[in-house]
Amino acid sequence: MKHGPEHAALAYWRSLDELANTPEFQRLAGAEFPPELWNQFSTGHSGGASRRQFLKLMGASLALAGMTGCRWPKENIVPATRQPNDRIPGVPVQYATAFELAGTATGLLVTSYDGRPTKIEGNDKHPFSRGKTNHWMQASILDLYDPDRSRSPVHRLRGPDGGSEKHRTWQEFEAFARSHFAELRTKGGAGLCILSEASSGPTFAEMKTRLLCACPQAQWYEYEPVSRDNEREGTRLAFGRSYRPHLHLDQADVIVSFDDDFLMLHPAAVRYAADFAARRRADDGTMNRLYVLESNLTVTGSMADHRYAVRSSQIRRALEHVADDVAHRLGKELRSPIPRPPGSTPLDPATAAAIADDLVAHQGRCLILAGPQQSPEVHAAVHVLNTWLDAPGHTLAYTDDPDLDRPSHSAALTKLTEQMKSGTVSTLVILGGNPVYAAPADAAFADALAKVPTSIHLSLYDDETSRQCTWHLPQAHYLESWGDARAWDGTLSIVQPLIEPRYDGRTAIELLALLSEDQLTRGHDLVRRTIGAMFHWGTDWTKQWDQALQDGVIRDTAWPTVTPALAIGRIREYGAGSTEELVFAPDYSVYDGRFANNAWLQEWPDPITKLTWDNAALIAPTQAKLLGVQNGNILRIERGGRALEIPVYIVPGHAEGSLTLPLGYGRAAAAGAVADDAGTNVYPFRTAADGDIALTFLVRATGRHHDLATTQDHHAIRSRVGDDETQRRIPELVREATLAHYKEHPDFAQHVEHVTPAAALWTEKQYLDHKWGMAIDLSACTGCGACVLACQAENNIPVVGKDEVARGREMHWLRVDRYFRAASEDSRDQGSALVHQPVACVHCENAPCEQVCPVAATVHDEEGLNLMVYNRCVGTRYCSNNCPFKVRRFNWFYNHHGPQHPRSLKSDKAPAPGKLRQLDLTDIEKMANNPNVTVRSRGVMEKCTFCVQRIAAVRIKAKNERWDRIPDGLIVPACAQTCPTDALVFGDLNDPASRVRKLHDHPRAYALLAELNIKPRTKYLAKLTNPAKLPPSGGT
Amino acid sequence: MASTVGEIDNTLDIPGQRAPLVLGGHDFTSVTDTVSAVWEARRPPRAWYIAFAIAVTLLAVLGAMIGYLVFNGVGVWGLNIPNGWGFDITNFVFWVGIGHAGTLISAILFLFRQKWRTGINRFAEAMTIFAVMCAGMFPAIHVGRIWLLYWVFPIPNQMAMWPNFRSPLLWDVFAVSTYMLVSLLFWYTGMIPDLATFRDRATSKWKYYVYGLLALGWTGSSRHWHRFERAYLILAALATPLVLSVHSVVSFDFAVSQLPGWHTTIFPPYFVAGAIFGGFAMVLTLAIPARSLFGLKALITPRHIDNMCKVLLLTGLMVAYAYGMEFFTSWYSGNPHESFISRARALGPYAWAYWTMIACNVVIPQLLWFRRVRTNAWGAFAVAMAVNVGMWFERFVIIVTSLSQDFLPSSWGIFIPTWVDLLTLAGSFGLFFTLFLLFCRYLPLVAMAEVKTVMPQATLTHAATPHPHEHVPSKRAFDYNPDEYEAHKRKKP
Repeated sequence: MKHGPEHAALAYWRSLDELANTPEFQRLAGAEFPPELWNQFSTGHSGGASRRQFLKLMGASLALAGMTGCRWPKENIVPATRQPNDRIPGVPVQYATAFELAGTATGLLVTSYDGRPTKIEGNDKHPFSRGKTNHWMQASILDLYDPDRSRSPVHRLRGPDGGSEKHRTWQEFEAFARSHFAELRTKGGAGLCILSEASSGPTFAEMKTRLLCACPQAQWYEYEPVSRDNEREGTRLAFGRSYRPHLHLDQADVIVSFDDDFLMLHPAAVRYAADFAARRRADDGTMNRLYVLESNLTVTGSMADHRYAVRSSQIRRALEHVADDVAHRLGKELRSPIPRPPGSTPLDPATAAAIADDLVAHQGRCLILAGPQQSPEVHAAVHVLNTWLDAPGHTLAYTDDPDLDRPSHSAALTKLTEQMKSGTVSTLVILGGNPVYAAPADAAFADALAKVPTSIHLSLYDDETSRQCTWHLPQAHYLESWGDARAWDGTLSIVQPLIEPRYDGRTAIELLALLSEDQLTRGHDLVRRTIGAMFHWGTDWTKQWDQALQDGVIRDTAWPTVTPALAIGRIREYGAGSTEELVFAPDYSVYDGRFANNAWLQEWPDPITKLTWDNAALIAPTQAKLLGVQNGNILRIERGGRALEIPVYIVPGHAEGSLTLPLGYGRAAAAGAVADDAGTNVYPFRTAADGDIALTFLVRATGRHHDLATTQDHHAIRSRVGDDETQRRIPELVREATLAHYKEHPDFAQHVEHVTPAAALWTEKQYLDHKWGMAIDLSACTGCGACVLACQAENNIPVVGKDEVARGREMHWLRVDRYFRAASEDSRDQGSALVHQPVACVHCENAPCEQVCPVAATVHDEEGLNLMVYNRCVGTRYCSNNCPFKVRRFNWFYNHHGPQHPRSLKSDKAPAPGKLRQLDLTDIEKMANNPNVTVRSRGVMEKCTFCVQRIAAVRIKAKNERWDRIPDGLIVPACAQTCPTDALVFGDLNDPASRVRKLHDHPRAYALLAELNIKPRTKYLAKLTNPAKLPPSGGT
Repeated sequence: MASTVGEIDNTLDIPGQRAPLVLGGHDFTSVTDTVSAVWEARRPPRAWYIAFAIAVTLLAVLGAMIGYLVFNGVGVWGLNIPNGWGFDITNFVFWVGIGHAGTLISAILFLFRQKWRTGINRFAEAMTIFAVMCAGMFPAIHVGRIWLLYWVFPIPNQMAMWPNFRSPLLWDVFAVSTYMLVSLLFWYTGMIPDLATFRDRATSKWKYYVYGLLALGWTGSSRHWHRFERAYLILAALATPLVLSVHSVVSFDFAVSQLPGWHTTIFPPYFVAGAIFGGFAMVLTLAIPARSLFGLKALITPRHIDNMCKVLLLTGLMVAYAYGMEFFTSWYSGNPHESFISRARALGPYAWAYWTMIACNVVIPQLLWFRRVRTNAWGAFAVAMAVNVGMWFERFVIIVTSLSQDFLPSSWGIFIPTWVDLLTLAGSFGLFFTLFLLFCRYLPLVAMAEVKTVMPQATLTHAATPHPHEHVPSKRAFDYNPDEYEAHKRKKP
């Protein structure tokens, strides 16, 4: 049989395309009504289309017309020829990486669905952070999908008419950079300056060295707006060179913090909070004792057993009082004998003596800390005291400073700007950071920058600094980057990317490779080269490298501790006191401003003020009376020829005469749609000369008002009768006892409220299989709020915007209540104690919400979870009305960009008539959603599910693999996973060995509102405090 | 035919004699003529047009507000967490309460043989129907997903899901719809003879057919009258428990929940008393202008108004007692949450609303002890208006103050209404008055047939005639003549 080529083409074809690619087919397909086909229908018996044919045709057309609706959106899918190992579509995988903030890394595990990272968790194999994270890490996933991030290099030309800007490609920048930097290299790098963020990575250091080798005359500066440089300088004063102190809070019985918010703002706060909380549970009958002297009421202050409101500028005097007493007791001499200056003392002598007694009684088991805003002298004094008190080696360790030669950040920036102003800088490369916004005001960085002919800014956003530079380069998010970074203790982690750069960004090391004409260009190769040079893994290289990536950490890379010897024995004279001060503090939500475009963080309530979307001048109630202002009234502050208008927020327990100004707000529109309009920029007041504490300024009320949105204590609901009742209820809601009382009455928490056992009117449901429950230890909870953000990230909780928060419509499923507890009615404004209480749905067994829903949209499951069936909910809100905890959240609008979301407000898309302006989520933003959690629609109630999707995932696995039981600790809700202090514990109450069962049976355990007979599944463990036996006056 | 005369005082009780309920020397024909005149007039009075224009405008506002609500979400109202309900359910309970007086007047007063009800029962019933329509609207539009509202009805469906029969909100659905149905039937049944009158007096073909259809072939035969009166009696008996049950069930929305300030066993009787109180206030609000506008002063006499004022005073005292008891029980129970909410109402952020309520519902109605206030149309009208306001605030106080400050002080939050809330409330009055004004114009405003039964002519008996030889007696022996009353009054020192 003869096979012609045409036959062969018909018989075998490689693809449908090939088969279809005949000229005949093309012609037919091109013509909508090809004559052949048409003729086919028109050659009926009567010459035209027969009735039968016509009907056939029409029937088919109708049937097929319906199918046009069945089309999937067109996507380019590249199918895997071979399925990668361990990659099942839809099954999440976790990769280890690290998050670096201001030069300190924390190990992470990032959950990724089909190559799309959605959730950040702590890396439990990380020896330092031990699987815990804080709210910034939780929120950083949202930055990855931020549509405001820049997407291409921008070239700006300065000119008298305002200049011009053009979007360029990386190739264009590379072409420019090659010639520009080749020329610079020929000059030995003269005129080249590099300003970088703090970075702990060896690869970064390596690239820095390579660039400086190629350009020996280039200058390298490092600047962070917020750092612990004063502490570093303090070690230099005390020991002659700089060291990095490491706290061992789990070893400390007595901790005295002089203005140090070490539980929240220390770079190692995640670990330190855990170590601190480990000694708050009194499981072995002992507890640590925390004294805090501070101006602003901080999270650390809220955990204090004795807290004293002392102005930051007076902290030094307070410290010296304590130091004097300690020195006296130890027979040491601290300072030149200058008499104590007369006048107001920040700490009365009896208190200072009591603290000194406690410290001396706990030598080797005590620790003194000073805050980063305190001067190096204060830190030096603290180091001296700690050494005398035998803290090093016990509660304190030192390591060599990782970068010994580095000048302090503010000194570096000052020097750099001087150089820029003098015109000797021809090229400035800014690696990350935002110095135009965050540099000290007296440095006048922006003016200096204008004098630099070529300035290149690598940044996530085309922000304030980028707008003033000649080049902006998009930076890769850390989840898109290869790199490495060290934890506070030096433990090295490899930063590996979870996803290709979404916006064509590059990392700082890649840019440095480009500038120094490195033969390697990809971040991966650069990191491998550095790691390869650091560790001599030899033939074992691939295995070790893979292990390091898998573990997220390279073992035994923590720095060795050293024991520095004191270089001084005495401290100079008393610090000058002052009656008024401005204190600049990093903000709990946006830090130094870098997180300002993160909507989760903007809407995250500040742990103390519960403010969202704004910063405010924090002042004491007495100060407010003096100024005649109330919350939200605008203050005008004048200082050094500048004026600042900022709303005021009153914080009970704040030091009198002190105004705390949180940094990081008031970003320019360039920062993004979310950051724009939020808060007031206080950087113009912060100078390198004065540091964080400014003493000379004028303040007055303007009589104007700015609405502040808080999630608690909405101003309008406050009344005297309500405040009285609140005070009455606090001891019932947050049960507290001193350690001494607890030892005598371990079950004190059971006797706060009399709960009569109510006989059931019907046979109550028994939960025989699993019985999920939670325990929240109020002794361990610092109120840091990481759980709130973890919940938000896990459960696709929308951001609603400032006005909606002000209306009381925030959507957080988990909130941290905080109550100011006053010792007496008169002291309500004074040194109140602050208690925190995380509240989410407590999954009542007799759930009041379930009974009242007319459509049975909220029901119990077989394991006792109180569930919301979103599809069934019609939105009567009756369940919320009947919920005694008010933990249910209602979607008043379609909230995925609701009408008050900044992106909706700033949208230029005209809404349909009668509709509010709402902007749909972009495809990029949608990627942040957890695919295992329903994205709730408008008009639907929602609430905490105990992360039912996580329970289900394990339950399914257990069923498939025929497990006998689900091991305790395998199911961890997002809140409990992230909680740095393990205050939240989840598990099966039917498992007698489970942690949660043991905590439920703990004598400190109590159920909130148990008198309502609702049988909540969440129990709280009463808070313990450990005040000194003879409480010094003035403490709380 | 007698014309309407000036205000004649028929409010005095003379021992042994009864006050006349129809003044102005009306006979049967003139009663029919007077009532039909409202309908037969070529044009309604100018005031009707003005009122109708306002009402229709407000109705349009209501439509726009509901449209805006449905397009955007319940968030256009001022609600929040904790205040899941605000104006929506306040308006619902307010209108349901108003819907009470009609059936009370029709059914309970009928069973108690209160003959004075005949002058006002028709439009009181109409008011009930329209108020319940306004009321029913609010739970319907207050839900988050209005397009799925049918899930609250027990309709067999593919999900094999029943609604949750334990939910008081579901009981509401049944209670209010039953009430609406029975009230509508009662109203319509009572109207059949009068509709037949209109049919008989129809001047155009379409009126003839429309009213003819509505009159269900009424001929006025004895058999018809017999059936009619039986049916009416049965419906009255059916409606009577509903008067008590509807508002009791509405009160369960609150009483069955466990919110302090809601969880109170006193609520069912307290709500019923409040509803009658509010309902009578609204009847007065409607009756006083209507009787002068449509020339019905002879049929809705000062005595009617006086009687209604007395009911208002009585129920007002019951409501005041309930307010007092709430305080007492919250103290006596020893429940700190309950006692707090009582204090918070009087002294907290909503104290202004609470004291508005007390002023309007407790203090101002005390004026009705004075006969001069009761018999003065303006006085009675002013008090009724105060009660209308007060009863709205009562529901607002119950709902919002309780929600805004419940168990955990951390989640306390204020409710501030938005412009949509306010315009929706105004719009609901638009719906109510539009319907009511149409009713005034196109349906018999006064129950002609029933009014005739309380006229002396209806009980013409030989024995009762004081002068047996007189051919047509002008009045019944035991009805006093208002002129005699004037004389009687003058005799008093």
